Amino acid sequence: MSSKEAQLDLDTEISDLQSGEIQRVGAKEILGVVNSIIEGMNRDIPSIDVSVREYLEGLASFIQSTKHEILDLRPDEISDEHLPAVSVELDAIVDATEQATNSIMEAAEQIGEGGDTVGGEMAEKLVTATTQIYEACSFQDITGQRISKVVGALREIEAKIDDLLGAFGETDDVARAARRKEREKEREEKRQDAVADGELLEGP
Amino acid sequence: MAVDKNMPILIVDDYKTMLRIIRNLLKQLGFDNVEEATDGTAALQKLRESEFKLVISDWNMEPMTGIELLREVRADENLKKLPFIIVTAESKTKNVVIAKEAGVSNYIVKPFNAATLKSKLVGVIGEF
Repeated sequence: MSSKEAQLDLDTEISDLQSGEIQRVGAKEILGVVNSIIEGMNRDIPSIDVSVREYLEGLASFIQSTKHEILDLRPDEISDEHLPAVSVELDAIVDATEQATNSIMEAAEQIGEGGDTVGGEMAEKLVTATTQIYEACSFQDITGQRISKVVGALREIEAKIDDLLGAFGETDDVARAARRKEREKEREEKRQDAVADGELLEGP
Repeated sequence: MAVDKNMPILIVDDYKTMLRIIRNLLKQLGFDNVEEATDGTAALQKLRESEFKLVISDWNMEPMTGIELLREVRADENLKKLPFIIVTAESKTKNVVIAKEAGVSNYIVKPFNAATLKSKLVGVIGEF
């Protein structure tokens, strides 16, 4: 490649980055630009200040080693295993507390009906007690809403880790999308299992 | 004028447990004529088909939220004066302002107790 062609390549890479046509600027793209600059210097300006060349080589090496360090942390495990497992557990908490709340309410309604038949002071006491039970049961609605927000935040984190994987190594968008879909499927299966387990606990 | 405790009330929530809680609390307060809807669209249909004297609706529902239901009600010539109480877990001022601007009659923050529900009802329909 002539120095003119190399310069054109470098200009194209830089203008692509600046134009925003590349939606996610990852380590690969930055490394490409740095390497192109180093190649250009080696070819065209052999007498360039050594310290500048060393600096750029150091930068390329730093990007490369950071990429490896991040991938060594196995962020894919966090998004593939840990976060989905936490989401399923939180969903199970919502389901279980909902079932328990309904059982408590059913019992309170029966006590209330009993109160209608006894009359007098006892009836008043029963009304007060059942009202307190109904009030306390509203915790479940709040719990459900708050936990749903936490699950939503976890999914956001999952998506960010996927983006990080894309920027620092895993370049196959199709593979990542397929894995995300697979995770959703597994999550739904685990959720169904948790519901089935809950039903089994209630007996035949 | 005394409040008619047999007045038809529509309660709206996508969460069946919450519907049950509100229904029971209303019953304890003496209001027994209660119908339920699980989202804004179903509620709007019921409001157009039958005559209700009060709506108590959750905010956070799909596909039509409580605030969207309120706006539909206020835009409907036949329903626009219907007392409408909104129930929500969000106590942020921003939400109260949105509800006020949409024409809400009163606002209940979850979790609430029977005394709170009673005081909000009194504020909307009068002493009972």
